[in-house]
Parts: sequence; structure tokens; C-alpha cells
Amino acid sequence: MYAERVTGEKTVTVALWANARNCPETSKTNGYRHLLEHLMARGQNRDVDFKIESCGGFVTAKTTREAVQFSITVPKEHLGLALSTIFDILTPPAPSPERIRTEASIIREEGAIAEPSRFWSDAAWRMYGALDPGGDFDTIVGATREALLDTYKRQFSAESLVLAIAGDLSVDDVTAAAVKVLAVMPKREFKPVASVAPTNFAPTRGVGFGVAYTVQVHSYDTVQTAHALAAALSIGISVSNGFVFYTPSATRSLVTVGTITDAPALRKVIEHPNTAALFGRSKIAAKNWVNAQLVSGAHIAEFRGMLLCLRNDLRPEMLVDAVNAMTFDEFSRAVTKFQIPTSEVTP
Amino acid sequence: MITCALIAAHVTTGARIVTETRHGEERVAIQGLLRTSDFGAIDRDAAEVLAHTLLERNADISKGRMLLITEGRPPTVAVTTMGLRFGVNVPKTRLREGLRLLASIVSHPLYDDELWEHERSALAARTLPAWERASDGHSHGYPKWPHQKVEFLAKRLLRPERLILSVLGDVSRGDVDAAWAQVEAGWTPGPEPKGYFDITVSPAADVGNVLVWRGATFKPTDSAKWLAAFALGVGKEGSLFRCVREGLGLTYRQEAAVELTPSGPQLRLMLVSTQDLNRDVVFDTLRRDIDAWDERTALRAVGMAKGCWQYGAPWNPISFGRSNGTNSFDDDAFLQACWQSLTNAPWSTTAMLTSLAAVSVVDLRAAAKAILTNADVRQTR
Repeated sequence: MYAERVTGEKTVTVALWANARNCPETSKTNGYRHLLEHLMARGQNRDVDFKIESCGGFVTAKTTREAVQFSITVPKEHLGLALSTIFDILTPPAPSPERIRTEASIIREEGAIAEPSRFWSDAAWRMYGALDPGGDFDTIVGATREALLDTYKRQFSAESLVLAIAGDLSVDDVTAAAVKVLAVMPKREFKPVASVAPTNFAPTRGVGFGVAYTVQVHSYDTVQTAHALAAALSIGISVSNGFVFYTPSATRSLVTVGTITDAPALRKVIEHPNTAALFGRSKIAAKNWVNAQLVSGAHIAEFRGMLLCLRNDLRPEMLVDAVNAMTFDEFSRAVTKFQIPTSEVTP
Repeated sequence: MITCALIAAHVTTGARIVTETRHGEERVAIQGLLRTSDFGAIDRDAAEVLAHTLLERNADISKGRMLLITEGRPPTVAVTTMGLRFGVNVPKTRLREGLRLLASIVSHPLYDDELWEHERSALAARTLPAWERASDGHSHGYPKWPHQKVEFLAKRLLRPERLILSVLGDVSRGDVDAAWAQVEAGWTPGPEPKGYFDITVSPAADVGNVLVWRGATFKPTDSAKWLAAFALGVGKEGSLFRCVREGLGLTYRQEAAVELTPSGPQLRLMLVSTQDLNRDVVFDTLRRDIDAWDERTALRAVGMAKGCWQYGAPWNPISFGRSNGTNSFDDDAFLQACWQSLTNAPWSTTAMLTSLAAVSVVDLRAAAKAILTNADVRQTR
């Protein structure tokens, strides 16, 4: 559990992260974790959003390759409501077959309107043979209540959870209140599953617009990750409508830089980089990126919570430290690694 | 930490300036609105091309220098329903440089035929995400214009009297005024050229299964219409989410937006789906839901408005164009510029929330039904 006092914040955010190390997805379960996220986010009586929105708060949820997250932000006087809501969300779901079909349909719609950066990230991951954490519709729609309960037990056992809370409240008070929620979570009652790294590295051609370049990196705290992200961010702000997609990991991740409008300009930067100019911008760009992840109490709870969930010694500041110590030569090598486009332009 | 907020607006001989002081902020958001309400569709598309060239080359300042002043945050430009939006976000110690940077972008552009064509073809080839494409509602005709015509457009558009400047941060009105006066003194575009280029507006584009209700514009102070937007389509307890997503399983994203246009706010309800959308079924479902609205509905809608405007909920319905506002510091500054243009008064979240809380359920239902019944409904597939 992590708690931070953020002076001056009107709201408090309670972010629950659940590490997926005990339930790696296979083609037979691809999307079950995402389906669970959808089914659980509304609470047992499907009244979570009414309660939270009526007091000026909001609930968000997401599923990444390595975790599932629920986040509740409320005016700070409603911390108790946020915590009891987290408890409600963590109740094992028992969906009807009809509910599963409806949510599967909603998840299919979600995939259809993904943002361009998400499209590029997925295309890049496919190159590395990884499954889409959004899931496969045919798999999701065939999920049974029993299979979901098994996934639930693996995903949300107590040792997989991190509760991160940030707001203008006493850390001691927040901790005491939160411990009550965590204490009732079930302990492990199954055999742990070793995470299996995908081995299919055959490039896959995507269909999209613009162009993107990707490099594979290791965990968040490695200098290789810091250098690649600094290079991508520096390149990304040098072109029109540039984007960088990166999700921190405790094992391996991808850093993707792309643009949806100005492919020639990005190609030029990648193939003939003005490395000195890029290096000049890289440190401030990386610092801005980390600052943007910590810009409010909600961001702090979500970002610090995610890193702690991935590995309990990961801290946002590690990346800034690594980038500050980065030499020009190290940066140059990081830039040259962005060589192979993830996908060609398809109008 | 933010300790207080003071808002001041006044008119200079050129740009109109709105300054909002928020003590404790480390950075300053400078947002410019160049009004294009007298432009036709093709001229607006041409203005979008021009806007993109402005960030590429400038007689005053290089791209690298821009990033130095902003400490790595690229200046932004976007086409909105209110006009062209320019944004610069700088540390508060660089207020003067930030104002000079924004002025340089709009007053000393360097464009040639090659750059125009580069930006034009990039915009023409762009494929927007499904939601933005649907929100946009019309296809674009980014024109291949000769240099003289671009020159004419620039002289017509890039003028201080078209600009509303909004500055938000730990700065005083006096500092902003003094710095801007210096900057504007060097901006002398000459008389505005007369003439009009616009040609036929392109028909609506087919962008998948899209259903849009676009209500009539309303008075910025019509609280019932604002609250209806929250009740209908903001948050996970809004009617659209409950009825169309949860009930019918038709969509992932369905929401209300209140577009700020030069004629006033305008409510837009929109759904995008890969499935067939039967507009009558959706309409009847929504109408039945509105009939069942009660005090709890109004309470939830006011709570959601507080969440969006006071507590940073990510579903703020206020829209400047293709996508809704995001509650960022920069968006807050740009909202002040737009509100000043619409009402000649500053935006006040407190006053808006007070007026929403006073709306009765009867008025709320009536406003929502009026919006739905009288809306321009468009369905494309």
C-alpha cells in the first residue's frame, strides 16, 4: 500500500492495481482479464457510478499487459465512500451469460475506436508475438462464469494488489482506513503460474496511417529503457502530431514513436537525425513526461501505484535519474535503435 | 497548490486579453483564439493549413528556440468551432518570452509554396480516429492555393483585432498587459484586405455507423440545457451510457458534447458503432429514460458537472471542435478566451454550478426532450 499527502488537492484518489503475474493469458483466455475489468467496475449492484458521480467523483478502469486497475477520485471528504466502493468492486462477479455477451460486444466496440497511438502500439506488440490485452472477441464471448471466477482468483488475490492513495489527507488516517479493505482480501489458494514470454518474433505487417518506429526495452528501471524513452520523446516533439507510446513494465516493454500526419518528416528525423539537437531536448522531454505522470493526486496514485504493483522497488524518479546521467554517445545509440518501421503507410 | 483565482478581462486597441491569476502555479498557459466566424468552410480549411505552416517556419524564431522557451513543450495549434486555437505553455519566469513566442507565431510566419503543399497534403492524407471523424461531421477540401491567395488569407486572418488572448497562471494582469503591449507594438499587419473566397461546402462524409443529434444553439446562460447535457450523456450514469451501452450493448463510446460556436453553445449527442444503429429504437429508449428521470437524476447530473469542472473528471462535455475539452490547464485558459468571445464576461465555474443546482426536474426533462425532439439528426453508415 502507498499513501501520499498532496497539499492543496481538493480530491483524493484511490487506485487499486492488481498484478497479472499469476494469470498470464493464453489464446484460450485472451481477454478474460479485460472482461473481468468491465464486469467488476460497476460493482455488485451496478450502482458504483451513481454513488460516485453524485458526489462529484468519477471511476476509471483499465487493463494492461501486466495489470488491471480501478481508480476512484472523489472530493477528499468522501474517502470512506471511495474505499468502500473499492471493496464493492472487488466482490467476485457472477455474471449471467447474457451479461457476458453484452460486455463482449462492448469490448469489441472499444477495440474498433481505438486511438491511433493504441493501434500502433498493438501493431508493434504483434511483431513480437504478444497477445492484445484488449482480448479476442470470440474468446471473450465464450467465457463461462466458472472460468472467470478462476481468473478472478488469480488476478485479485491479496499478494497481487497495490492500493495507492493520494490527496490532501493525513497519511496515517488514510493508511488505517485502507488496511481494513486490504485485510479482507483472500490469500493465494492456487499454484502460481510462471510468466511465459512470447517467442514468436516474426514481423507482422499492420494496416494503418502515418508511420511508427518501435524498440523493445526491459524493465522501467533500466538505463536502456530510460535512453530509449528519452530518444522517442525527443523525436516525438520534433514532428507534427507526434506521439510516444510506452507502458512501464517489470520485465519488458516497447517504446513506440510515431506520427499520424507527417510520415516523411518522421522518417527524415529517424534516418538522418540531428542528434545534437535531439539530445538537447531529450532530458527536458523525459523530465516533462515523468512530471506529467505526477501532475495531480489522481496521477500520483495511478502512476506510483502501477510501478509498485509491477515491482515494489520501482519509482518514477528512477527514469529521471537515468536520463540525467545519460551521455551523448548513449543517447546517439538509443536514437539509432529506432530503425525498422512498425508498419508502412496504408491510406 | 492553488490559493485563489482572480479573473480580469479588458479590451486593448488590438487583441482582447483575459488574465486569470492562479497563485502557486509554476507554469503559465497562454492560449490564443483567432476568430474565424466570418469564414466559410473552404477558408477555414485553408486557415488550418496555414496554421500548421506557422509552427514550421517563422521569421522571428526557430523551432528549436520555441522548444527552449517552453522547456520542451511544443506550441500547439488546432482548429476549433470558435476559430483557430494557438497554445504556448511556459514556466512563469518566461511569461514575456511566451507572449512574444505566441505573437511571433501569428505575426511573422514564413511560408512558401513548398511548405504550403507539404502541410496541405499531410492534412488531406490524414485519417482521423473514428470518433473524431464522426464529430467533425463534414469532409474537408484543403485547397491547392497559389501563393497570392495564401498571402491574402494570412493578411485577413493573422491580425491582432481577431485575437482573444487568455493567460492563466501565477501572473498579474499588469504584467501581462505590459508585456503584451510591447509585443503588439511590433505587430502591424496593415489594413485588412476585403474579399471572400468561399465555395460550396462538401457533403457529410460517411464514417461508419454514426448517429448524431445536434440541438439548436442556446443561450450560454441556459442552465437547464447545460444540465440536460450532463444527464443525457456525461458519465457512466448518463442516459446514453446506461441505455445504449449497458442496455443495448451497441457502443463503447457514446456521449454528449457542448460545442462552443460563435452563435452559442450547441449540444451534440453522438454514438459510434460497428453495428447497425436503429435511430428509432435508440430515440425511444432515450425518451422513455427521460420520462423516468427524478431528483436523483438531477443530483447525479449536478455532481457530474462538479466532477468535470471542479475536480478534473475526464469527461468534460465542453468541446472546441473534434474532441471534448480535457480539463487541462491549457483548456481552462482557452475556455476563458471562448467565453469572453461569447458573453463579454469571464467564465465562472462557481456561478455555473450554482445555476445548474437550481434547475428543477421538470425543467430538466423539458430541456432534454426539446433538444432531442428539435435536433438535427444525422445517421451515416
